[in-house]
Amino acid sequence: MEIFEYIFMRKAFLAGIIVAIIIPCIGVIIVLKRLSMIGDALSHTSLAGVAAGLILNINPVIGAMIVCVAAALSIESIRKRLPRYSEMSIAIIMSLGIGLAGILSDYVKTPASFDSFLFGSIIAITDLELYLIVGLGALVLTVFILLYKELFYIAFDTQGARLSGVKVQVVNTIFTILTAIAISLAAKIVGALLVSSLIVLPVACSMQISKSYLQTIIYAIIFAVASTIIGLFLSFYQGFKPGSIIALIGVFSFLAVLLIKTIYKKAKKLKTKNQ
Amino acid sequence: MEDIIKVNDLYFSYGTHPVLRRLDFYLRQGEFVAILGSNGSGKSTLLKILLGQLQADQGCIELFGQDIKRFKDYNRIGYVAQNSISLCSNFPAKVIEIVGLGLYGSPFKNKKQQALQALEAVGMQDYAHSLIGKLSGGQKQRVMLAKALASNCDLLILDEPTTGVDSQTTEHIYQILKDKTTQQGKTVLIVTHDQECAARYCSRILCLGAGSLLYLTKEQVLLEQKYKHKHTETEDGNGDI
Repeated sequence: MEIFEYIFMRKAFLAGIIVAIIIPCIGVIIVLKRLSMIGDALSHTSLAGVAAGLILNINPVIGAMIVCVAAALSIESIRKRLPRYSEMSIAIIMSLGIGLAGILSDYVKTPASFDSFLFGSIIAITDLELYLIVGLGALVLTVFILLYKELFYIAFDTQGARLSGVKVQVVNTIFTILTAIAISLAAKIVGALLVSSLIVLPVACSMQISKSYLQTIIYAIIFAVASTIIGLFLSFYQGFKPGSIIALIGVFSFLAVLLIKTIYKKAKKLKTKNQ
Repeated sequence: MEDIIKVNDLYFSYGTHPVLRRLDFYLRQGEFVAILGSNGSGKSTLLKILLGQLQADQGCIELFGQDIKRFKDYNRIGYVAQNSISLCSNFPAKVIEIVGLGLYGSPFKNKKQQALQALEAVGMQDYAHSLIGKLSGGQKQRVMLAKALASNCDLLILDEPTTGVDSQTTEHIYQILKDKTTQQGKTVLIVTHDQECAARYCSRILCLGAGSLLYLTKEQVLLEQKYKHKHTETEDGNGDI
């Protein structure tokens, strides 16, 4: 196929699929903990790291990752101090991140590089970025598998998990760092403005049809990988921005799943009635 | 019999608002004890202190003979929280996956079998592969009880586990708990508003009011229940008095 003759597209597929595997793993826990907005906050805040990276002449993905980890830990810290109004922590850090990103972006000498992080730049992935995505993606996935039971228990019942001997504080801190790493990698692929679509939409689709927790994770990965592959094909042949088209495919998939589910339920009801 | 819980001279307040005052009580192995009390009397606060989520202002608490400040074996305690039904709503997991969480860190080899046995104990074995979110409130409550039972813990603490559950399921839950104490020597502490069930199934009843505990006999509880019932009937115009 013509698309695979280009090195940049092969890189794009590899990076896109890795991110599409790790993000739903993180996304399932985020959605079940009712923290969907954290994805938006961290991805928007990562822009401050991108700008700082471009100014300081270090790789923007590394800059985004450092700022993302700091922001995620700050959100956790504020959440602990304001347990009754924990969602405020997300708004506080997002305001700080976007404010900083806006000011720092004025000092970036190559505005095009900064803009590419808004909607993603999957087709301009450098070798270093690809190594980062492969290495850190493997790390995120390995830690997620190792902490599978603990994360499941905390997502369901934090208090119960603590009583059963789960080291909730440690697991939460590790998960916060994993989230920050995954989001800063995804920001490069789909763009900081669209990361939450990759976190929430595959999980939302999966939750409509899954019959178990494990299935929820597997189906979410399938939805995310499928959206990314279709998105990359459309972007190559139709010239769409990859991040934007991947996000739109996610939304249409969700609507399609909802529609099919409703039709299936009605058909089943009708069948039972006729019997 | 070993003292599973021993509380001496316990004080607790939220800021300047005192909740528990000079509280003394004990719970021995194999007992099924109910704590009654009106809303806001401090029942859930007491449980939170026992579970290490809140720290007492003053007093001495021992769990399994150990000072609560040094106590780490919380996996010996099974807990069913007041909000346990709400945890299950729309959660995308199978019943057996949820019950399996209760076996976290347990040494059992066949955890699936253990989880199924716990479900069988609460009469929910046929729902093992159903989605937890699709069950009724009473069924969810029984699953949460199975999760606590699966851990094979020595002490079960339940915070209003039969709220919103029909009377038949409530009786069933109390019977399961009673069997656990009489047949397996487990200890159960239940916070409830259900005076009738408490009087019928529990070995002792404590009443929490104005921050202090009062020991009640079953006869006292039943008499109060009877009086309340008659009083309500009189107000409705249907009573004999």
